[in-house]
Amino acid sequence: MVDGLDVRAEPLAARQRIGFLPQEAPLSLELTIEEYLRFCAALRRVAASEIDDAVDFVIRRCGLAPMRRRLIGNLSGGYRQRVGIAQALVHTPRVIVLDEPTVGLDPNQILGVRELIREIGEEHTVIFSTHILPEVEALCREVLMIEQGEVVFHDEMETFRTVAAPHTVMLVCRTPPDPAVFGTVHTEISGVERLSPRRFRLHTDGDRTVTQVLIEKGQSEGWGLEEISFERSSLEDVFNVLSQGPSV
Amino acid sequence: MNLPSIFRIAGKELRYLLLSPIGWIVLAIFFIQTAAQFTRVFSVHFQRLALGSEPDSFAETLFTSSVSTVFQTAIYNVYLFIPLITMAVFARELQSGAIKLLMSSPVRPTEIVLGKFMGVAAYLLLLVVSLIVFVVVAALAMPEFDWPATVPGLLGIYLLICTYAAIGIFVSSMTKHQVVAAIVTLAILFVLQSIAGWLQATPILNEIAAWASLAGRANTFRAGLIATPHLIYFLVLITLFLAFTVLRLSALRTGQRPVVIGLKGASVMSVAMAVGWVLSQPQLSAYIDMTYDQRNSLAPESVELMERLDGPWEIVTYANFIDRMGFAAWPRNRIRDRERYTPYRYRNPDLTMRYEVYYDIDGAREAFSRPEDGRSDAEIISDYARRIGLNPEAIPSGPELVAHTDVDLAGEGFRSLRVLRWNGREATLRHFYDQRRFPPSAHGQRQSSACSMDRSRLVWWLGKQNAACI
Repeated sequence: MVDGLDVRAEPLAARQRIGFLPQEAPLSLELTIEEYLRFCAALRRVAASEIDDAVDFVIRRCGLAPMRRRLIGNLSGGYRQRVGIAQALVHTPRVIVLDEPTVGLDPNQILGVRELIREIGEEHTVIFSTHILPEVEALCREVLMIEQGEVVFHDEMETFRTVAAPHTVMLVCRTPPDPAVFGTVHTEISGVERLSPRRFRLHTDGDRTVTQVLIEKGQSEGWGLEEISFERSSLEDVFNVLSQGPSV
Repeated sequence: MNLPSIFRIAGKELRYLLLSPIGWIVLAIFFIQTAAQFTRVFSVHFQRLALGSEPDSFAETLFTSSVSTVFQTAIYNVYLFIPLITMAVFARELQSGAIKLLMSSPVRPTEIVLGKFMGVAAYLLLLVVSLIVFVVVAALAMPEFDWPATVPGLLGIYLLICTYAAIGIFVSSMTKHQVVAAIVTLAILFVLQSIAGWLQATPILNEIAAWASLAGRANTFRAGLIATPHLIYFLVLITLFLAFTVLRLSALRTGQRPVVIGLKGASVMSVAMAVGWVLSQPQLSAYIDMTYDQRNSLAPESVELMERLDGPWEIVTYANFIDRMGFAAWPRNRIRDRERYTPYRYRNPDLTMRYEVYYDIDGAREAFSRPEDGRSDAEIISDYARRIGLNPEAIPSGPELVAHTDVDLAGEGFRSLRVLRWNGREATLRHFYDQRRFPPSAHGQRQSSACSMDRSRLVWWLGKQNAACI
C-alpha cells in the first residue's frame, strides 16, 4: 500500500507517488542534469506545462544550479548522488525511498546529502536504508531494523535511542585503583573489564550520569583520570542487543 | 498506452545512439559499403552500352535486380550492423541499474519496449536514408529513371532491419553484458540470413527454411513488388519479439516462475503465428507492382485468362532431370519454381504443383555430356541424381514413366514439360531451348531481362498455343 493505493491493483498510480533512489543512482551519463531531470519528470507524468518549474525547483533544492548544463558523466560522486535524489523528487512524490544514499561519498558530501535528506523530510515521507548508526540518529523519526529478512525492531526514534544508547564507559587512569572499587562508585555499574593495566571498560545500564560520578570520584581519590568516554555503539551491538545475542 | 511516455523513451534512445560513437561508425561504414557497390554497378551499365549490348533498365542494374545491386548487397550485409546498434538497448541499463528508473516510474513494460524500439527504428531510418541518397544520385544521372521501382526495395530493407532490431532488442533484454548481446544476436541473425541455403535436399525442411528466411522475403520487395504476405510476416515477427521483451521485463519485476513465463511466451507465439497465417492467406493478399513495366505482374491478357480459370487447377512438371529445363524439378529448386507462379496463384490460389521426375538421355542430348572416366551412362545418371538429392532407385526412365501416364512424353521427345489440368481439360506447356525459354512480358518492354529464370509466363503460352482449350 502506498498513500492508500494498492500497489498490485493500481501499480502505475502508486508508482507515481513514489520517488526511488536505488543504491546505484539510475543515471544517464550521456545527458546533462537538466535534460535528465526533464526526462524523469515526463516519465512520472508531470504535466508538460509544469516540467520547467518542477525541474528548476529540484535543481535549486539539491544545489545543482551551477552544474545544470553539465553532462552527468562528468560529475563527481557527490553531485551524481544529488542528481539521483533530484530525480526521486522531481514529481513531488508523497513517499521517497532512498537506498543507502551516502555510500561511497566523501565526508563533506555525506554531510551535504544528509542535510538535503533532512530538508526533504520536512515535506515528504522519506524512507531510507543505511548501515550507519549516526545517520539514523541524525535523520530518523521512526526506525525499523531488519535482520535476515526478519523485522527485529520497529518503533519511534526515542525508543530506538534507549536501545542503541552506549552501555560501556572507557576509562584510562594514571594510577588506577583496584578494579573492584569501580563497582562501588555507582549502582548502575554492573561489571568491570581490565583491558590493559591502565585501561578499563565499565558496563552500565546506559545512565549518562555515571560519567559525572566517576569524574568526581576520580578527582577526590586521585586516580589520575586521563580519559573517560562512552563507547559508541555500532549497529552490530544494537543488533546483538535486539536479537539477544550475537548473530552468526 | 501512454504515448508521451513512449515518445520520451524513444527520443532518449535515439539520442543515445546519436551521441554514441557506435551509431555514427555503423552509419559511416554502411554508407561507404553502399557507395562502393553503387560505383561498381554504375559503371557496369555503361560498360554494357559500350559493348553494344542492350542494357537492362538503369533502376534494375543499380537497385532492383538480383545480381549484386545496391539493394541486394544491403540485404545480404546489413545483418552484420544491427547487433552493434541493439546490443546496448537494455543490456547497458541492466548493467548500470538505470533500468530501475524505468521500473520505478509509472510506465508499463509495453511502453518501455515500444519506446526503445521506436528509438532504434528511428535511427535505422538513417540507414535507409543513406540508400535513398544513391537513388537520388541515380535519378539525377538518368532522365527517365524508374524511381518508383526502388520504393518497395527501400521498404523491404527497412522492414528487414527493423525485424533484426526487434530480435536484437529481445536478446539485449536477456543479459547485462553488451558484448554477449551482440554476439548472440549476430549468431541468430546469421542463421536467419543463411537458412534459405540450408537443408536443400529435404523438400519439407527446405520449405520451412525458405519460409523462415527473412532475406528471401526482403528480396521480393527488392524486385519492386510490395507483397502483403511478406509485409505481414515482418510485422508479425517484430511484434512477436517485442512481446517476448515485454514478458521478459515483466518477469524481471514480478519474478514469475520460468514455467509461467514459458507458457505466456508460447501463447504469445501461437497467437502471432495464427494471426500471421490468417493475414497471409492468398484471399487477403495484395501485390503492388511498383515497376514501370509491371515486370512482377501478369499481362492483361493473362489476367483475363486467369479470371476464367476458377476452381482447383494443377500443374504437373514431367521433368527429365538431366535436360536443360529439368533443374526446375530438383528438390532445391522447387520453392523457387513454385514462386514463378506466385502472380498466378494470387489470381487463383487453388493451385497444386506436382513433379514427376524421370531420365532420358536422348531427350537431354543437348545438355547431357559423358565424362571420359569409364562410367556407364546408368552410373553417371545415378551419381548425378544422388548429387542433387534425388534417390536414383526411384527415378524411372522415360518409357517407364510413360507406362503410368497418359501424357505423350515420347511424342514430345522426352523433354521436360509441364501439363496444366483444369476442369477436366488439359494443356501442354512446352519449353524451348532458346534464349527466351521463359516468355517475355506481354508489354514487350522487357528486353534482355526477360531471359532471366524467374519469369515464367504460363498463360502467355496458354494464350498463344492452347487458349482454345480454356
